Amino acid sequence: MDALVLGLVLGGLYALLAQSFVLTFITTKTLNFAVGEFVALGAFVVLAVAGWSWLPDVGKLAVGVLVAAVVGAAAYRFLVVPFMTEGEHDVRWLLSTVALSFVMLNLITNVEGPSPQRSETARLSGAVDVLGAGVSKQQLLIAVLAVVVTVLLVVASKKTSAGLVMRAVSQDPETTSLMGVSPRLVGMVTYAVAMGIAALTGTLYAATVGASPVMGAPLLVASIAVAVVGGLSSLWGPLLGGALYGVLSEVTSYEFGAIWGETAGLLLVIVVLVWRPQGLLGRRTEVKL
Amino acid sequence: MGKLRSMHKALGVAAATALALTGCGGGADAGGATGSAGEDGVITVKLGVVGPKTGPASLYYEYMDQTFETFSDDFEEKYDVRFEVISEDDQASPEETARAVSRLINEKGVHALMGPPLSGNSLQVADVVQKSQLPWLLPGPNADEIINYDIQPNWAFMTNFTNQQIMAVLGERLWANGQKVGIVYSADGFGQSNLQHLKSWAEENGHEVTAEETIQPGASDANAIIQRFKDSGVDSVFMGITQGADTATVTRAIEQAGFEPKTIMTTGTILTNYKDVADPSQWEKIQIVDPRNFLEGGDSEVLAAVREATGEAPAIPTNNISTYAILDIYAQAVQEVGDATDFEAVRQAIEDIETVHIGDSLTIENPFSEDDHVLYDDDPAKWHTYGFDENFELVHLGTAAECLQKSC
Repeated sequence: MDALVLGLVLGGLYALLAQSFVLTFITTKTLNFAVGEFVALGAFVVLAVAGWSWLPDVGKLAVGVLVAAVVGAAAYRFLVVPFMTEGEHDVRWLLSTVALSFVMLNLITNVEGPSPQRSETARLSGAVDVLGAGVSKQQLLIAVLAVVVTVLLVVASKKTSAGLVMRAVSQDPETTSLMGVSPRLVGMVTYAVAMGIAALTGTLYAATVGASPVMGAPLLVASIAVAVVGGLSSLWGPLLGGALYGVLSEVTSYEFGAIWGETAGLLLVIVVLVWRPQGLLGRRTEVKL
Repeated sequence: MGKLRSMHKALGVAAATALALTGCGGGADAGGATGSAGEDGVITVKLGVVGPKTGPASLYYEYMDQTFETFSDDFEEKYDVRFEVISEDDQASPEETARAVSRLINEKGVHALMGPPLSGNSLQVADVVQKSQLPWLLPGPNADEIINYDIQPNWAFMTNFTNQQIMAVLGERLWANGQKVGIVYSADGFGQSNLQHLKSWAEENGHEVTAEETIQPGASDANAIIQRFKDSGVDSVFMGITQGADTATVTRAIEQAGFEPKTIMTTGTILTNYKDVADPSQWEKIQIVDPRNFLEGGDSEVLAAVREATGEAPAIPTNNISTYAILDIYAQAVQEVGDATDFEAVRQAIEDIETVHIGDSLTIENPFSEDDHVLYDDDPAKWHTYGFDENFELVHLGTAAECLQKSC
């Protein structure tokens, strides 16, 4: 039972970050491989404003999210859009986002240094008992937030005009542009929201492990795996993927040792890719050639 | 035209990336370093230093840098030996380490090599450096395997303790009163070496390791590791972990699981990066052993001088001291030989060194012999046991031998 509970909580962390990948993929069919550095960016921005005693923690979080959102939108405009002009098979954005990842990593390291720095913003100390398992309050907060963010995104995409536009651009950007909607603008907004979520994850995670330039890297593989398992085209996907990945890796670690935990999670990805390449909740899209 | 513009932009991104990656690489050439005495009577040595100048592991270069900055003038004044440092950035990667070492030896013609600081990377280049027949100064690594005494003359000298030594000092403490021992170790050269020597000591002394678990750098939790320890009945934990931040992940999991082992021991690596990501309740039961006295005498003088000269905390306190020791040893040897380019004579002078100075008030006599190129030995009476107060300040609990008797 301990492994189940802790796996679900751990899956929540991965699921929250995985939403960054899912959001950009749904709308722009691209993934930002610099998400790990946006995790760190958010954490360090919040650390920078931590001394603003007049601003409550929620406000500091908002500053971190906002800065990452602006940088994310700019990254889409200047490092993704120019590298996807040759149609669906143009994947140069993949290289440009990887390059962005290296540049951001070096910049953050040069400015902040390599060592983890303590972050007290939005930090919950201690653990609570959940069905007999000791769960860190901070990790529980992140897991709950993963559910809340997912529900909000689903509701926004289905019930608001912005969500309608996002879905329209996702399905047929050319036709929507003929109707006066700018797919580029929608992409920028999506990237802003996605990188804001990455920054939010980073800030809350930094309260546990400290803010460091490389803090996002260990989360990246698991988050991509979670997004793929759940389905890159489904907003519910990260929750399901996170739950499965987290529980499987935690139970495997309990039974066979920590070294096998992550391996089991990645094996799950392979199984899902073979059985349902679009992910468990993803929709299969047919490309007319 | 659009394609051309895209290509230009792609090249721009690639160039920016390359610049960002290489921005701090390379080192200055040491034009006047002949290795013999100049008109002023000072011998200028071309010292190749390899380590991660950039990237997340850059603390492992910074401690060498801090020690040079603090003590270079002192060594020149004391031994008439000036260090001209030619540095190479290995970014802590094995491939870059091999390239950096090769450049320093073959292209830069250094008179001695210091680093790399990480055990795994040192192991990777050990054969190459040994064949180059240059004095190899190792203040950082702990893995015994780096020095193969079957090859003589041997060129490597270590001034940190080794993993075999720490296990010899700690073994009885860990297994005291029939305790069951579990080890959690980093998935790197340092961690693997810790595991190997703990198991060897246990086997030689009729014990067994009850649980062994590895932790990946940056792991988001260690809950499963601790649960397995609990389930196995482990009541004595050794953490052989390279980064303090990963140690914090383990102690956080210990607290979270309500796990209360009787003994939790680790190494001086906890002094780096741990305090900032852990809470007092997580470190109150942790103890470390180390051959250095961080609180008084020569070791503490070195740390105080680094703090004063650089205005920063020593990057890795244990290794700041080790770097001071190896520079003292090498400078003495060069002074005695009078020519840093007579590599064999310098190597022999190091091996025969009579007194190593650490700070103003600590000396270690005759540390080396043909088959012992390690500064410290494994006598528990000479090692110190430390705990931590609520501010993570070290508290001296006694020597390792005393703590074995009275269970500190």
